[in-house]
Amino acid sequence: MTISEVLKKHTDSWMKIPGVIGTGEGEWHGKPCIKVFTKHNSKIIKKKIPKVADGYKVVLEKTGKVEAGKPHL
Amino acid sequence: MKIFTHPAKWFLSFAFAALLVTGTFTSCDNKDNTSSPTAAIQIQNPNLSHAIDIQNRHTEALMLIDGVIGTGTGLHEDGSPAIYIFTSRDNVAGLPSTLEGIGTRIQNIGIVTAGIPGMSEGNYKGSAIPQAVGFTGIDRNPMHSGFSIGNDNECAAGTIGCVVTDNATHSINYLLSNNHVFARVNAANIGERIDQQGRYDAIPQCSQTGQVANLSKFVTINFNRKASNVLDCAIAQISSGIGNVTSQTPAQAAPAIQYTPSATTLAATVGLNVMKTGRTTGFTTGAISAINVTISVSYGSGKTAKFVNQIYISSTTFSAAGDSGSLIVEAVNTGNPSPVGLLFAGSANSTIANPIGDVLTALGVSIVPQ
Repeated sequence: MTISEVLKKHTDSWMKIPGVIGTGEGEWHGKPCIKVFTKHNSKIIKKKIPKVADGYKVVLEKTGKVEAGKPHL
Repeated sequence: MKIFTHPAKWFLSFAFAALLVTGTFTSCDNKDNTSSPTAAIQIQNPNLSHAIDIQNRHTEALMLIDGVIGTGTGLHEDGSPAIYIFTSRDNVAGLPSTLEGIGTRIQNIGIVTAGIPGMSEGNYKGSAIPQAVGFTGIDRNPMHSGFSIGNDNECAAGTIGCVVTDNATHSINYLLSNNHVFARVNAANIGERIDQQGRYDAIPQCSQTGQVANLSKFVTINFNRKASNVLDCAIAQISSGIGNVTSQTPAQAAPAIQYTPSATTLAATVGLNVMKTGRTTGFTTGAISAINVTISVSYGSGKTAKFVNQIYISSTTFSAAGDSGSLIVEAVNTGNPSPVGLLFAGSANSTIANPIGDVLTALGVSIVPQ
């Protein structure tokens, strides 16, 4: 499977895990990896997100809440 | 953390953020977690890799100590690897002087407030709005990309991405920015007045500024939980009488550079070095750390939209609220840099952008490379 296919396969179910807000394709030591973006760290996320998915390393990355925005009064 | 204006201080801020980010912001339960700043440090000094591994092993426990707010990896004054322990006050008890043979450096950095906050009003409530070092002033003749812009019906401010022209006739020019900058997150009517500066930047604040365009078109953001958005973009037709409008960014002191984007777009790739010029943080550089990103984005008031196929830049300094609409281009010093993305969202340590090719296709326009 390509990394895009792996992402497509898992993203919807992973994003149902509380605190998971996104996924993407990144690099890990020069090799393609899957990134899972999180609002916060949690044991549930660590438990439910595999370290490897269909042969691709999965890396957790804490982004915090992602917002569209502008200074606004 | 302050946003510095002096070039040397800007560099120090970036370097410090790169160190801090290895522990405070990206250290998650998975010790294998990574980020671009970490990778950059490793490339510059491979000897630090071992120290980073040790730091990652101990960060979780260190962060449980009252007064510890972060960790990092850097160097002692003699050049040997050091593990930084950042504290919010002096005299924090129980801190180790070494970790697995690596000496620690304990630094009281105080309480870290929102130097680079999240990007919506929701995150600003109760926290400091960043001091803009970018382009908040009046700039209408000529009018450069990178300056403050906003819808006249709200007291807000975003950024002019660039000038675009319609693909059908190449005779009508528009300003490019985000839906949430020009179209008030789907709420606007076509034809609404667009002002430079955005009224948030007016003196007195929120007073009316000068009309430079009218809202022409925007891609609706779908907040249905199952919907997949790609775009937060809009264009506004430049008003007659506003003759001298350019995609060129403003002249800036080094190390910032002035540039005019190319009309030829470039697909995002992991590791690609990029730059942008925006209303709040001005000229900044970074690197793309992930592509094909699916991400939930908050628009305040409890509204969240899912975006797919996005570009992700891991950085605490690349953007802040008010940079929305900035054009992200390939980082090159000469010629016309290729456009890569349209900045629209972020968090304390990330920036999210739409792929610029999709933006232009959806709006039926091309970038004016002058």
